[in-house]
Amino acid sequence: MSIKNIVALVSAGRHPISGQARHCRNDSLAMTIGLALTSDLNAENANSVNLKVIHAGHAKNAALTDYLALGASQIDVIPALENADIVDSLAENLKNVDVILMGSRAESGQDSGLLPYLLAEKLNYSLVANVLTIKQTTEGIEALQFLPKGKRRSVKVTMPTVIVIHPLAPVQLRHAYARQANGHISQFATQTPTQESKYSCTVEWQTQSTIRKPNKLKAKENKSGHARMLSATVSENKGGAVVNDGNSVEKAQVILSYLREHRLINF
Amino acid sequence: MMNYSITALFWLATATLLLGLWKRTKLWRAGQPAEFAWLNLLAIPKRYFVDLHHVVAREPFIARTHVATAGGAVAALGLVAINYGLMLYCAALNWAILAATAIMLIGVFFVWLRRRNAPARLSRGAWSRLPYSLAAFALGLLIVNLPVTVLSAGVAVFALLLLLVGSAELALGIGLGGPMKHAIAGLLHLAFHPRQERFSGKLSTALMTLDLTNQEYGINKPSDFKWNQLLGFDACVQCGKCEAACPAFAAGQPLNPKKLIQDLVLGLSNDEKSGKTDANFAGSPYPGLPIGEHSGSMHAPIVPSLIEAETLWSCTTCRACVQECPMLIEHVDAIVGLRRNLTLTQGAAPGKAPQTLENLRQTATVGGYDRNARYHWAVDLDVKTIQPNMPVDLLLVAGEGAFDMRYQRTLRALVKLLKAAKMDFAVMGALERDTGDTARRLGDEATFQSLAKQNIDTFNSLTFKRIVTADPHVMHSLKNEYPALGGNYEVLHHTTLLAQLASSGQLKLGKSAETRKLTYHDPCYLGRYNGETDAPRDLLKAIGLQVNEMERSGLRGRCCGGGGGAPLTDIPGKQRIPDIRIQDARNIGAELVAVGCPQCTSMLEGVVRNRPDVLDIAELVASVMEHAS
Ligand code: SF4
Ligand code: SF4
Repeated sequence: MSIKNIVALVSAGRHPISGQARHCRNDSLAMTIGLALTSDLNAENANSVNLKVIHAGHAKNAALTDYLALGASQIDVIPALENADIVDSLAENLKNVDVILMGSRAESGQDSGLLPYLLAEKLNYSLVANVLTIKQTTEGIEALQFLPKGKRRSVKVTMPTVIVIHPLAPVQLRHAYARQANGHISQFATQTPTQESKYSCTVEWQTQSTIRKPNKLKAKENKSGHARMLSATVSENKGGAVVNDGNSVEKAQVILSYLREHRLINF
Repeated sequence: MMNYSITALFWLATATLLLGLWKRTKLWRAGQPAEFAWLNLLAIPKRYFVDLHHVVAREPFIARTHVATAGGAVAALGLVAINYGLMLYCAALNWAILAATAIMLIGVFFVWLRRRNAPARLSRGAWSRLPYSLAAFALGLLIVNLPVTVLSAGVAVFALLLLLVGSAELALGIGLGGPMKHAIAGLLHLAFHPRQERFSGKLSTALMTLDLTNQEYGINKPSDFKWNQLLGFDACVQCGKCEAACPAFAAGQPLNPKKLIQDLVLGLSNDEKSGKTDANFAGSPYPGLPIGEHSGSMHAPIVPSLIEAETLWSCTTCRACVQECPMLIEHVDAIVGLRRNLTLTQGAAPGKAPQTLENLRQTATVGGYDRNARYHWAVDLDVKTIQPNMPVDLLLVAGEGAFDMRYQRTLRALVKLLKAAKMDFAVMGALERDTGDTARRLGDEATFQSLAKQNIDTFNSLTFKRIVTADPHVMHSLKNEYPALGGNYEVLHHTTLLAQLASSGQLKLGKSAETRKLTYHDPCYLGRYNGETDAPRDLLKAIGLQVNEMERSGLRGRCCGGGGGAPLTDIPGKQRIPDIRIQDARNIGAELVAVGCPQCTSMLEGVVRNRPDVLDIAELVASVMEHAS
């Protein structure tokens, strides 16, 4: 199956220190991967696949110009209406798309990190998370997934699909002013919301200071450098014991004596 | 018979030369339009004898050699033009020609002598034949002007042949790009130099401003240079003085300013289809990059087929090459022009440069810091922070060094001195944005201009008389580069201000207790970019310290490796530039290196021990105050 339509969803980020509007790095990675895939496809079989870059929000948002500089020649902005759920507005515009790319990390504001999942559910598309690289194969596309401890997994993806890019994707972002100056940001016509959002944003947001997080009890380790390296890279080598025998009181006793032994509790 | 032959030869050579010049002019004119004045042609003699000779005279041997050779040749040619060109055939003029050719021959002899033991920086190839072809010219002319009525036919033919060979070298040079091209192109370059201010005795070190709204994104192909820049490249005599001065070349990084200029000459003169490579270049290559694999032409992108990107990113923009070039060629403009295109159209700066540029765009600091934290080091010093409606005499602009714990010691020392001198001063606080200097050197003109405009707006909202900074890079931007964007300020380096205060008695200084052997390292952006080499030395002298000069100092000082974003692009070489500079200090037995720049401080302190200590002049002066009180 050949890919015809690719979309990258980009969101507006803010610099954590200066608060200045900027691109969201993770989405930029996704977009750059999309651009590379598109140009590969176009190089192979001369049919013109286009990467559409879509943002739900406001066309005036200063963060968007970053995406132009990073390679988007055009950004289509779907207006984020009050009362409307952006999942609905996005889904409305993402029918008949083969691949939807986006970053996986919520960065600020109302980001929850759930958008890809809600979108995939709504559109009934497959979803692959934590993707590092994608490449086209004869049957479709293959994605390399990030797993902890240096492991990777290659998965065949059925299209249409939502692909969520991992922050560690090996992509070099290139910010070029000339592209920013030549790019366009265009706004979709405003639509009236078809239905009231179930994840409505209109509720008053409350802010409160964060609560101190509970400290994790951790035994002091006296392991050699080699052992620490192993436990960081080899998943079987965590150390400790797995207790399968005995009833729940006996199991609890094992934990209690562990904690006492390492002076993590003193009673 | 003989006389007529010479007349014919003279006019033939003149016609050939003019034809060649016309051909070459067509190449230059493929460049972009530039403002120029025909009248400047009249200024050539002054510019030759004053500005150019000022540089050449640093090497008296070659200066005298060139005066004899070129002076003799020009005189001889002028006389030949009158005597033979106008067919006067006057005996007195023959004598004059004889004298001129004799002088020329003596000069040529020394050219030959030097070529026998040529330093590595000189190009060989076509340049090696020059003593012989020039000697042929001089000797031929000498013989035919001998006051004997009849030369034997054999001698006469021989002399004419010599003259023909020599004239060919002179006349064909400009058209075919031979070594003698430098004479014509060099003189025209003096007239139409892209930086005319240089000839009025002023420093001209600011980079040219790009008109971004007009889609000026730097140099992509040779024809993107201004026509007078192309002409300038053609003036190069391949003397390699730039190469010998270049810190990146010395460190084994893939940059050689001489080769760079020659590559551009290849690019501008190459036929699109010929595919001629740089194989004919007979000088030192870019360290680590073999010769013969690169080629380019007028309308083909320069990077990477003609010049590799890493060559451009090795440059520290120290201007040592420009300082040394006898032909007044502007290497840094070419390098930054090429960088600009890479950065602005491809975002292709290597290493940590992209992160730095992003930081500058998003936080207005190089390191991605909180602007509110810039003056944390001054929190206990009771320093005023400037606000609109709060006029002060002196505005202290700290620059990026303010975030560096090492450099904060220097800034604290400076503040103490300003207080001791009872100066009315304030710091900028959170209002200060980076000047954009690093962005500009990295080719990111857009970020530079945006930061500069914001800073200029801030400055406009404040009331102050002068700016002082301890960072020569800040100084260069504010003083030399902001005017083009509408910001005009009186900017002082802290050593200049302190030297003034000390000499006027406003700052009372004792004698330093320092006993270690001291040297002073000139920051490129203070010395070559701003011409300030005296104030730091005066100040050290004022506190009783004697400066032992390193091999390269003052306007010819060697770079610390910290400029131009080079520590960010970090192109690998065989050694590091600061190591070379510290070796200079070791060579004279210095135990203490005085500096006047945060970049120099961190580069030189980054050299592993055992090395001389590094202290800013402000620290040295402040320690005198502490002893005194
Ligand atoms: S650029 Fe200048 S210094 Fe360098 S080789 Fe040419 S003439 Fe000499
Ligand atoms: S500016 Fe300095 S580093 Fe750059 S080419 Fe010239 S001498 Fe070399």
